[in-house]
Amino acid sequence: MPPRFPRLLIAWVLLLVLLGVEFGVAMLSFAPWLRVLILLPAMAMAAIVGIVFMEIGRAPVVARGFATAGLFWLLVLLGLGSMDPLTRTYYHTTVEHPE
Amino acid sequence: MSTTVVEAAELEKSYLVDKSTVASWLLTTDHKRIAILYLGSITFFFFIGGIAAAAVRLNLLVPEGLIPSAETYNRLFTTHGVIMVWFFLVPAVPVSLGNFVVPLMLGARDLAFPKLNLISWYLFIIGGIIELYALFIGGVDTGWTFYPPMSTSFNQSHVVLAVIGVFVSGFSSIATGLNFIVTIHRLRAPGMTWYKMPIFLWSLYSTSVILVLATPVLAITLLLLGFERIFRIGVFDPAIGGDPILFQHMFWFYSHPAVYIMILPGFGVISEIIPVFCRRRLFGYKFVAWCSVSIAVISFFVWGHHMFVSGQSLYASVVFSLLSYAVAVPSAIKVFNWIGTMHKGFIRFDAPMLYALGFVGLFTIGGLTGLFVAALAADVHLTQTYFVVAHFHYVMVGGMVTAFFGGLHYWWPKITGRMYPEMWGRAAALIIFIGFNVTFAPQFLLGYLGMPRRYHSYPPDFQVLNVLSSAGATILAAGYLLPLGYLTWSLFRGERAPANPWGATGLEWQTPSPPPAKNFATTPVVTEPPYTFPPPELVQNRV
Repeated sequence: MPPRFPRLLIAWVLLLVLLGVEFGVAMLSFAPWLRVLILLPAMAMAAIVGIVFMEIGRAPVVARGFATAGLFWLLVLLGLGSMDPLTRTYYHTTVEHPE
Repeated sequence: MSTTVVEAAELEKSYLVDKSTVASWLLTTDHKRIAILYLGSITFFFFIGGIAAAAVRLNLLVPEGLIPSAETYNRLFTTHGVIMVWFFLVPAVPVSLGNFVVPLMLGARDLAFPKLNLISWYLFIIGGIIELYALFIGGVDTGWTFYPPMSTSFNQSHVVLAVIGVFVSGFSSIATGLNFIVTIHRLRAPGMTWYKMPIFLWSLYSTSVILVLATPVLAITLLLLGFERIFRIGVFDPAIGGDPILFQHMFWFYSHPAVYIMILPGFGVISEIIPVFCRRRLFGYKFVAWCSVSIAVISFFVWGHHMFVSGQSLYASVVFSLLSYAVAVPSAIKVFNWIGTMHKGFIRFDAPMLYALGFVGLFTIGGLTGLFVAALAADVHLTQTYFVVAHFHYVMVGGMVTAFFGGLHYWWPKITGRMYPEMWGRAAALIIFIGFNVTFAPQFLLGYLGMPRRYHSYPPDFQVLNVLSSAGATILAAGYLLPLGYLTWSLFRGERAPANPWGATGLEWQTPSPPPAKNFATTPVVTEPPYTFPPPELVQNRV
């Protein structure tokens, strides 16, 4: 068994727990100014992946660059992507499904 | 380009005959053999997708449609789209030509992770088998984009299986991209600085960055789609609290950069061919190199232009429209640089160069019509019409597929150790060019006149242009079948290829054709920039 295996296993279990938390939190109703809290479990998961699995603290510069680019890309997805829902005035209504 | 000595390598067996059992192929970690496995696979998928396209064009010969059921027609064009996009266009150049030549161009013995390379082929095949199974047990009728709520609630076709097929093949893409990035960073020959790399490597590097960063978003999107369909969790379907436009945002966040996954390697191929057949250094090397990177980056900012009429907010549409024009700039720079390279060159019209010339013209038409559909007001008229179909095919088929064929002919002597019959190569290039234009140019007119895409029948007024398009498709099919015939023939009867039949400068040409299993006898040392051809006066004398 590799020496770091228990550490990786714990991190993996933690990720699954956080996924469950994220799933549960998504079901709750928050005041608009508290909705940002929904992001916390996801951010914790990203941190665990970066620190434990990618070992970004000890990684060479290029690997750190790619990890940063990954976050930048996420920012692009969320930033440009939220431009639409933040300014949209029309939403689809519920439709009847054919049986 | 280098001071490599390869005589010793010539004494080794080529990779083709090094071991000859079936297991030696199916368990190989040699990048060259894996490239051949991929080449066979994508050729198979290309012809499956082509058969579906032929059926679509056959249906459209008459206004009421030759295929009795509109439902069957829907499944046919979906089969065409799903197979061609996910199992040919996205992987084609990187996994076949790229896999074969990347280590050779770098002066390396293999990719950084040879086993991962083999795993990626198996993932591709598993994804492909699942996809074919889904399509042949009844198929999918959603179009290749799997838009909900059509894909989640309004049809009984095999969406989940089809989505799983694409999902699995996505991991193959990620593995290949990761492998290329690490290989290009870590395995460059001594002396090969970034600015001494051939442009094909810059292109594949940029492509790989997109593959690694964008494909996971597609995977998650398709996973959510499957979950919604199976477990009725409301993510995209408005009936259960979802937002269908969210699917489009996530889908196009991957799928617009995926357009550049498809075309950037094609740019790289053309950047290799044109200098060689013009005997000139690539004009504006650094511009071409950095344009690949900038296209990769900008491609992530423009996905909303696919959604102008989806219900996306007008403000978002305006911003995406403006951003879309930005991506045209580096693409145009590349076109100007290829033309600049040809200017005053000693041009040889061998088959690869004919394909390259065809590419420049067809891609330019595809790119310019892209500006039309990026304009918000024009797109409201043109979207969902045959104009978009024609634009897409000018970029993807006129561009990427033409580049693939150009690259295949260019590296064929290196891959197989055999020359293809040049006359047939030139004839096929011309037939494909003519057939392509006869097929798709009428579709610009059809779209502008208002014929919607994905319709089983159409008003009789559109018949002449549709018949013209179907006739062109016949010519195009003949053009694509020709290389299958003469390239196969050349494997057995073709003239033996020398190490460097084109007088090219890359490291891949400094090892025998076909290369030995370990590529190079000694590690090459790179001393000169790429595309360093003899002075013009020497070339002139030789010509």
